[in-house]
Amino acid sequence: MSEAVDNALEVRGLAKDYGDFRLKDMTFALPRGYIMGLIGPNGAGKTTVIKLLLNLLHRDEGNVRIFGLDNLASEVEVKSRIGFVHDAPVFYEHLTLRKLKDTVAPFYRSWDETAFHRLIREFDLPLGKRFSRLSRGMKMKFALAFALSHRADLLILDEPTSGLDPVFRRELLANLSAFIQDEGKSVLFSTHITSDLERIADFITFIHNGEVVFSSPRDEILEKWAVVKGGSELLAEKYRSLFRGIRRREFVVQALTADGADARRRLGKDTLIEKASLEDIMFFLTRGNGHA
Amino acid sequence: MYRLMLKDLRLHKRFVVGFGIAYVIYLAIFHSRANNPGAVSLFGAFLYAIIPLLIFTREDKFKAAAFNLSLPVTRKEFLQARYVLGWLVMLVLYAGTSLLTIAIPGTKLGLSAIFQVKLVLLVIFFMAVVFGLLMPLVVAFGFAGMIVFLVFCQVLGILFLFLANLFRPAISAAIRAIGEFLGPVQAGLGPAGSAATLVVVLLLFSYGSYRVCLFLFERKDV
Repeated sequence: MSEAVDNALEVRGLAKDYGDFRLKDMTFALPRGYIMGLIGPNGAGKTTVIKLLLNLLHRDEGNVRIFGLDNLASEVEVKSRIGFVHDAPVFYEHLTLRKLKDTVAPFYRSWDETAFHRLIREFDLPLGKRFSRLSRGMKMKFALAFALSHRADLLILDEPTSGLDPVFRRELLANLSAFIQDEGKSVLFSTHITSDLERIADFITFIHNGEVVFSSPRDEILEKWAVVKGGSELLAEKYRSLFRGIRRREFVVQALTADGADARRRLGKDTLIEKASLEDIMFFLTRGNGHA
Repeated sequence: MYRLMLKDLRLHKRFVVGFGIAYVIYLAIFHSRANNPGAVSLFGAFLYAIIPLLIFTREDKFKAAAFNLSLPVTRKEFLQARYVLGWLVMLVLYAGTSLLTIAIPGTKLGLSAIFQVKLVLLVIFFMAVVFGLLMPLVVAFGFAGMIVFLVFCQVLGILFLFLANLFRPAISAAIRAIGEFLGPVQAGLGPAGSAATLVVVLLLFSYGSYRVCLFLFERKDV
């Protein structure tokens, strides 16, 4: 089996120019059967990437392959295998959930009516209620039920947990974990709530200012990246190449490194070196003022 | 295509039925009181073309464009369904209005006046022109595009009236010249040939409008 077919999603050199914002040379791959978190601060380009995957935006350069198929040339087949949950779930607001299902289900050959009703019961959703009258959490649940009911092989979720209470966030994450237990199912999940990803993501792609900063397995990131805490000696020229972001306070300097082991070797025992969380990484890379 | 049309009809059922029935009754009463079948039919044609476009622009209201395009359909299929549905709605409205016009007691327009081949073709041609001109604007700019077109038509009408007063002899001469050019062409083609030519022009115009829409739609960001 070729490399392309083993990947649920493969993005190469994707670019989109809005004039005031440019997505540049976006390249990453999500292997089949895994969850990838797409993280970055607000305005980094996460939603733009997701919209480009679904051909909701016209790309300027690059290509996207989903299950080895070009997302434009095989648009219908690709979309029928994707379950998409928008950041603010948009359905036809004036229809009841039942009518929504009746309207949209015929588009999917693999629609599973039994699974849909099971999920509706599980999520405690009122089929007779208009979509516009649901709470944000319920709208998200319905969108998820919908995406899961057509037996999607790849779920793409754009900021699904923002604005949701912790209980539902945990439920959602549990559902996503359960989803990939079925072999071959994959999830791409954009968020700026990094703690969600530390729970479930296998891969992390971090984007900032329209560029991929890194795209790696989560465990590798959490193992390698570290926050170094010390005095002003950390600002020395010889350490510049070691750090990816530095924050200087009155007496303390904190710095992020992509190679914690190297930092330990070079800085010795006198410096405090802690494993970096995804939030630390995101903070230093976006707000840590470069190399001080 | 059928699923897309069914989806649009299901989504806009109340609007189509409610607005459509009111429109048909209003236009039929209006037609039945008029003496000039040509003028009222052309006025009606303009309104028939507006209704399906109003349906399509309701998508702006639902903010559902992104959802629609994340369904497993291509943009081409999406647009084709809109053209077919648009034509179906226009033809149903036209047929409904015409039949009701005849049925209204005391109507001044009988079956033969309403269903003259030449008039039917002109109405369809006029619908195709309005629909074909407006669709690209609706695709590119949504409801705002339609409003801009209607305002543009109003301004053009006012400008035309103003210019008509200023250059009446020249305009009359121009219209006469067009008539003199088309008269022999029409005579040469004969009634059947003229009708066929009109149908061909109508089809070419509609196809051109569709291609422009497709070009715009495939590049549109939602």
